[in-house]
Amino acid sequence: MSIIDNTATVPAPRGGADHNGPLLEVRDLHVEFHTRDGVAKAVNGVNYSVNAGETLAVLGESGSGKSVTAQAIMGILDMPPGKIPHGEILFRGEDMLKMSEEERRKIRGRKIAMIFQDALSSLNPVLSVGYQLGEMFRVHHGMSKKDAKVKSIELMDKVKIPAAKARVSDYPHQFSGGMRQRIMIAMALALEPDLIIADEPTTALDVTVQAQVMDLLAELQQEYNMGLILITHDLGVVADVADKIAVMYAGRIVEQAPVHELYGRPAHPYTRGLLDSIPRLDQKGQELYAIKGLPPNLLKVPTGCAFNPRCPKADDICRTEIPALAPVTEQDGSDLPGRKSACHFWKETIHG
Amino acid sequence: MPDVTKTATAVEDAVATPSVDASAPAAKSEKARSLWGDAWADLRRNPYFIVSSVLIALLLLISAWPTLFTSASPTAGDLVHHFLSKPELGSIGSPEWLGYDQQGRSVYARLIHGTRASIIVGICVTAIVTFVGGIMGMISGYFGGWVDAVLSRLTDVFFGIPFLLGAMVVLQAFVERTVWVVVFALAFLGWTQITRVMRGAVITVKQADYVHAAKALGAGTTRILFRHILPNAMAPVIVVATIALGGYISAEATLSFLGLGLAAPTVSWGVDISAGVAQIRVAPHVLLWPSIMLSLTVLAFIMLGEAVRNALDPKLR
Amino acid sequence: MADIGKNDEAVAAALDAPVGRGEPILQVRNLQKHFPLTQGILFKKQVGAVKAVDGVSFDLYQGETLGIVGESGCGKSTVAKLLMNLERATAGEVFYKGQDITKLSGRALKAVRRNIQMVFQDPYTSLNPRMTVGDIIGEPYDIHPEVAPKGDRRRKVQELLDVVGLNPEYINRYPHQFSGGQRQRIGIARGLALNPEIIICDEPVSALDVSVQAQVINLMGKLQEEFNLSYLFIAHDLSIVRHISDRVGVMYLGKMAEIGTDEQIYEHPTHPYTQALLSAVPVPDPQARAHRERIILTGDVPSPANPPSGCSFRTRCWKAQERCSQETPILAVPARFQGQNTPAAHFSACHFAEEKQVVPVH
Repeated sequence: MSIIDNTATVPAPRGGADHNGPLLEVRDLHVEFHTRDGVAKAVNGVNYSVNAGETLAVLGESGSGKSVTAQAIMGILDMPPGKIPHGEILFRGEDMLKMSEEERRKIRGRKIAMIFQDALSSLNPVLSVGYQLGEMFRVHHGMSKKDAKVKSIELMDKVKIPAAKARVSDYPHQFSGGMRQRIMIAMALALEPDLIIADEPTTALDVTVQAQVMDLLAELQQEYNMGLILITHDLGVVADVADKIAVMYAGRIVEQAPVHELYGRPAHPYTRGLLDSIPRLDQKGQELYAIKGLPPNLLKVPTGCAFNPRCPKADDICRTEIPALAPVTEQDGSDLPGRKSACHFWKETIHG
Repeated sequence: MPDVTKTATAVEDAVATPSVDASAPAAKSEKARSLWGDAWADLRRNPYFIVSSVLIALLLLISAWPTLFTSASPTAGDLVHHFLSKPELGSIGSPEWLGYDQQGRSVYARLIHGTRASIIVGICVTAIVTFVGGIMGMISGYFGGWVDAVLSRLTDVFFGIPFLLGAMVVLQAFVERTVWVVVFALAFLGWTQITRVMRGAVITVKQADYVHAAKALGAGTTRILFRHILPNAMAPVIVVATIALGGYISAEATLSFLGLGLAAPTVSWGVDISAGVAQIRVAPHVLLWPSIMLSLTVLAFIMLGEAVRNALDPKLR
Repeated sequence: MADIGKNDEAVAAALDAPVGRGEPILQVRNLQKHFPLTQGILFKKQVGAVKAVDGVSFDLYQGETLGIVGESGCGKSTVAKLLMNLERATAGEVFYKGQDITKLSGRALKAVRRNIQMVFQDPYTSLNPRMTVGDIIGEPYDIHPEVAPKGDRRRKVQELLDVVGLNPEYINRYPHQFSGGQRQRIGIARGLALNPEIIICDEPVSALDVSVQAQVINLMGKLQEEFNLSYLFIAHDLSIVRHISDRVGVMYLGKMAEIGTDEQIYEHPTHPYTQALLSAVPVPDPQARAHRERIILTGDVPSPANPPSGCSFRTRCWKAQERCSQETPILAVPARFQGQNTPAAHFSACHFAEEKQVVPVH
């Protein structure tokens, strides 16, 4: 059983900027949490990669391990209780898990930045927004206070905060939710990182503001040619901005596909169930399709395929054998580039 | 970064949630687990809890039946034994075990009989303070408005009085200072802490949706207060009260030491410490043993409080 | 005193009378809730008011689902609290079977509460963590003992658990032993216990996972049919509201901007705010992203403490003119559509109401 991503079989050349593989590659990552009641396996062998200028959407419900994976990449996992027993996180070909704390710190913020869901609690309430933005320049580039302030105003203009000059000395609570999320984006952008990880960046925002923020993020990504990992549970947001999608369930990627392919022809029953269970704005249906049962308990993930107790297609093999994330092909055997599914019955699901 | 803890709790939640399903009878074996039950299961495995509760149980036993531990009288002195300090290790529990004091009374017997005063003061003050302060805090937090304004200012006024100094002033007003007078003086000034904690907890709980749900069902004030708010606001109060109990015991000793609390012929550790200080060069043991007992007792209650706090609020770990 | 008691009884009796299908069961008229803003520590002086709800009117018909949508701060949750009498209205009336319930108290209010129940947003805070599931669902019977005799309660609670799709044997468990979706089922069971006619649902599925949302929505649909319930369904998710509602009201800054049947609102919106809101909803269809016209509003929702004059939406509206700042548009069928038999002829509070299709029609 090969769980290693195909693209990873070629040994990536070591070295920094001249590396020509994917920008970030996660290989066979495992994360566990040691709790009072036992070991919770939050991530069980995740593989994905992002290229410069590309948007990867990681889709999953709570407990699917999508945020934990991101925290492991950023190196902000609480350890203990968290533990990474296995896996590699390659940034430009170099394994960040083997780096010293000092080396990682240099990458964090400068090369990889993160945007959180809750902007209010991610900003320091007692420091002005301008000070917090300027801090990035003062600490990382050794700029003077004055220059840093000019830079902060520039950044605030960039993320389209009206009257940036007048508002640079305001405090986080004086901004609305949408504006705060823009400030978070500005902070993430400050050092022009190569990769941005956005963890549910618009979940806390209203729809009209959500659209503004997602547009801004997409625009800036193009401008700076950044890689973007978008972590979300919202199939609508994903359809709007992603290039490719990784669907996670119980700490594993169950399906990977380019965005257009996934919505048209899902190759995993879980993805299909998700797509069928969301009500549509443009349709008034009868009863919704509902995936039966509950998300798995991470302390006792079902044997075999973790989705088997909820799957309409489940058979004996699903209860005993973990399906590998394997390439999916067209009915005539021709390649479907970028598509993979971890289902014993992917053929029936995609073609049936 | 608060988001990290958020996801950590999300993971915890996914963990805490047993995969029970209406259609899955497999999960039947899982028993009902109340939050108190969980806390108790946690406590039982905490060594601090075990040590402190064994100590406290022993202290309670001593104060209830001191004669089980010594047959000697704490007040009967024989000047033959004056300051005889040589410890006789071979005879643990005998009157001469820890030596004698100036008046030839057994230090050990006084230690045993002095426990009662400390424990009574600690427990009674805590009980009164928790009851009075709890009710005040609950009223103040639940009703809000002018009731809260009046009660909160009253609390502030009492809170502003230095605890020991205030207790001294109160005690001055009494000619005969029995244990109960000391209890009164400490409780008179001590209720503010609980009031504040309770008020804060009630205000938080009051905004919970389950309180709104009860109101929406038409539940009366009594029901909301005692069935919904109190059980959920109790945890911080229990913790603070347990830790404060140790504080009251040491406050009693301090007052007695200063000559304003209990006084001879009442037997108490504070009284003995006070008497022992004068003879510290000739007979340090007279001071030493009650001091050790006092510290151990206070420590036991504080340890218990901390253990309870950890059990009730696992997020602290 | 005795008079009041008698009166209460009469009211209570009137409230138990059945209402026919298709008749309004709840009529909300010019409902207002202003939270005073005060200054000063000892002597509080009112310096203004947050107009959370500022004159909202609508009818809820027997057996229907009325969806209320709007962004955070638009006052939709306050409307729910006002209808439940959890907050006292500043002005306006709520008629339940012809009786104004905003001024009720005591027994009459308790009687109303039997018939109007609520399902809360957050299943993690809406169940008392120190009570067993049996106690939580059985509490309505403790408060209204006339509904179920004591010996009957355990059986009733178990029936309710079964109705909402939970194992009746879970009666002695505590809320934290359940997942979010299961807890929401427990909350629904509690709401059903007294056999109410109206259930007010305040974002009942927004805290749940996508795969569980569908289960709960289907359950609510099933229960509506089974018990002939009327739902007031408050949510920010327009897709879910469309799925479940017969009629939909759109709120903005404490006021109703537009109200009509789901088809009228979603396929023939005439208020610019509704149009912007609908166009901003991400559609789970990547094919649509290229040729979808989106109206991206500028700026944020103004503070309800200091709403704009005239039409409150004018500060973000691309159609705004002089008139919008001076004259508050009333919620009525716009003049240009009056007397016409078109789906665009529904209540819309805009001076320049105009039909615009923003949701792709299949």
